[in-house]
Amino acid sequence: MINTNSVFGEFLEIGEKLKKGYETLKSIDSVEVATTPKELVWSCDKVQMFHYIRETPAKCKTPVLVSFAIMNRHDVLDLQPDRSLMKKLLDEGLDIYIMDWGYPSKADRFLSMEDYILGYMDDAIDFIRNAHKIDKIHKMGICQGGLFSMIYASIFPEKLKSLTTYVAPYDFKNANCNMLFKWTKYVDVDTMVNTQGIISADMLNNAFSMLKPSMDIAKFFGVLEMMDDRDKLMNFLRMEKWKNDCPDLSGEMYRKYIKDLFRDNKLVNGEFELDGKIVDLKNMTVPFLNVYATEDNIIPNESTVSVMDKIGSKDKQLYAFPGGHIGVFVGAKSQKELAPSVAKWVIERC
Amino acid sequence: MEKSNRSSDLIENVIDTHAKTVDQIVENSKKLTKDLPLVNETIDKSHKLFQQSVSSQKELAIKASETFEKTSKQMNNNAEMAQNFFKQWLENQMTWAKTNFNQPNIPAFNSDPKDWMANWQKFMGQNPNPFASMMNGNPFFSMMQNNPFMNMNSMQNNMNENVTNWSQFTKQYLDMMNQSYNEWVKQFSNLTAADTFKGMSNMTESLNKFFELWMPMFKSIQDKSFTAESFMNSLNPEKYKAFVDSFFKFMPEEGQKMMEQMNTQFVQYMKHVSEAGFNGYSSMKSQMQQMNGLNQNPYSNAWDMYHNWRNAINEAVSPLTKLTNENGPVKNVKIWNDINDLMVEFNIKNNELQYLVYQNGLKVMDRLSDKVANQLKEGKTIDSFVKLYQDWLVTGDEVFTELFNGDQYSKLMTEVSSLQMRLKKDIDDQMESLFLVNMPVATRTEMDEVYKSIYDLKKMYRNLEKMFSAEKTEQQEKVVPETKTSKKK
Repeated sequence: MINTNSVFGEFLEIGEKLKKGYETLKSIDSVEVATTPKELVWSCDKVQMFHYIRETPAKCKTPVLVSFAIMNRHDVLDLQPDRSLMKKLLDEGLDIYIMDWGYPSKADRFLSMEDYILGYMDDAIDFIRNAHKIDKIHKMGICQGGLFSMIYASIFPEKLKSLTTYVAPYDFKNANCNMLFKWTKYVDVDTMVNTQGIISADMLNNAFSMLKPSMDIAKFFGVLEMMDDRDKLMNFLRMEKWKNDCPDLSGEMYRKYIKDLFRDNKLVNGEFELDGKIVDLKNMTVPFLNVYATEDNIIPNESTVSVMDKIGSKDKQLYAFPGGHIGVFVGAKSQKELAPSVAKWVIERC
Repeated sequence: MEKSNRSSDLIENVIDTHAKTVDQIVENSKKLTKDLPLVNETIDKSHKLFQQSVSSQKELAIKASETFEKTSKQMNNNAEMAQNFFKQWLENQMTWAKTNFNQPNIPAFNSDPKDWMANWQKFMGQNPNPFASMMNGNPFFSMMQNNPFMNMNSMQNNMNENVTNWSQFTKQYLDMMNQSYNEWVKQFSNLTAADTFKGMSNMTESLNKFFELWMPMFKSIQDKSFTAESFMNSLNPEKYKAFVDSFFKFMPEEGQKMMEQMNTQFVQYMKHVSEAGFNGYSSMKSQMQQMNGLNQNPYSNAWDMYHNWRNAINEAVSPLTKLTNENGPVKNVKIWNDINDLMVEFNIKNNELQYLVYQNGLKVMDRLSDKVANQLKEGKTIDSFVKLYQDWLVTGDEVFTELFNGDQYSKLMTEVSSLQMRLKKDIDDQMESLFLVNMPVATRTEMDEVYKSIYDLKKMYRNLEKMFSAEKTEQQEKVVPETKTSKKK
């Protein structure tokens, strides 16, 4: 039997909650993310670099440059004051710069991986070296930004004091370990790039959302219950804002990323070329901290961990963070344990 | 049946007209080449081939109509079965009512509904209607005045209709709410908040479609005749499709939007060019839509069928096209022919992809209906529809991620995406060369050339800047030791 009273009552309740949701959400004028103060210090085309403003002198004089994935905004690293990896690292005594890759448009379809790594990233690092009159800086990279930083460190180890990466993909050997890895095996990347020019963020987001198809529906049941708790609701909205704010990708960069790295696994196989030169991971000799999330459903652990045996660094450490891909930057444990540990590791190598 | 005849006649007419046109072309060509017996012989041979292919097209069309007719008959049988099911259900309801109200002598409900209703009202009077108090506190009260629960006294229907009305009313209420929320969403000042509200509304919309899908099953749940099998039998494919589409919004909707847009452009151009292949494509598409059931994969042989048909046409027409000059219109016709092929291929594979999703969605429904059947067998009631929907979501994640992870889906999905992009590019290029080229606007190709030049120039500028900076540093470094040397001197 169906308890018609209960079922219809349920629909009425949802209606009531939606009405309340409407009132609450309508009263919200702005959803602010990335509020930790910072200033623009360098820019080239659409790429910018910001310097976080410190109130007190840094414990480590050598600055750190952080690069996030190109396909997402770095704002998630500073989502809100009590969930900000950047703020926590500043509090722990680091002097931090951050890259903002910008929003590529159709005009940027020809930007290549060379432009990003040998161009923008290298120029930004040179800018910091000149500004601080130092030879080496610390580098941090997250996800795709970690992979790019690893490539950079293999080419220019002389410019880095250390490299820290979080949840970065390196080894793409096992295409079956994850749905996204598998799809890249089949995707007709040439047609995609030749016809689209730039790769739309919506398309990539759709692919990501298929890792858990119910997510985009099921989460709103939770939201219905948040209407009386403004803090909780604002947390949700900040995360939504970040999730929906994704830049498109330059086609040529994407082509190389998928074909050479994902599909042919050239970096780990020692065949990856940048500007005509082979990138040898054995040249990556700087101290290396490799952070991975044990419950990562986007970047499989084996892809992150196996790079440890391929690099030339003697001083290298693996850090297993108990949580998911995004939890590394926004989780409570990240604030309490991970950020202080990372800062300590960097300061020890200052 | 009538529809089937109409479409069959239409296809035959199209084929006949096409055949007559080719006959005319052949006659004209022969007149032009009357002094060249060898050419005339070739034309005759190819003409014969063409006539054969026309016959095979006709045969194909007739077979397709027959299939449609068969499908229609099957559908009628299904409708008859549904009617029987309804009769059975009605009887079950009457038995239930008789048992509940201790009136075993009521021969049939319609003979004297008043007695039955009196008892029902008495029964309801003993249990104050919980909906009444709930309604009073609801802001949509005024809009719900006519709901069946508030007007129980005036209801002249039996319990069967009560359940039907209840579900229909709930659906109306949900539809109405959705409409209001869609309007409301325009009032937001913050985009993220608006998106969140839209997400909540979409979630309820999907829940509503889920409700709608289950509506026909409520009756059997009420009379305890619900089984997993009866659920699958009474599953409405159209509603099921609407529900799955609402869940995987991006795929069918976006695809359809794009196809609609392309179809419009395609049709417009083809009106001018008038190419036989298009007619074939249309009839093919319409036949496919008619045969699009959920019980068997209708796409597995569709591409082969289309290819055979195209090959027959090409074999017949190619000797003739060799005689014509490769001028602009001929080239365009060939390009549009290729686009036509691509479009058919895209349609078939896209449908197959969606079919895979629907088919796996049925697995989810199957598991869920099993769960419900077991629940009912154990004498439990369904108190929460949201819980049922959430169960669907959890089961869906298991089944769909398994599907998405599989080779078959991965290959097909990437193939469809590639076809879609190639199609868009080819049509864009044609639009550019046929229409935009004469307009005072920059085309996409021209803009790409400009972007490439700007990119190269920027790169060159950056490299020169770096070289200049490096040289400057080098010179400065050289200057320092020279000064030291001069001091020594």
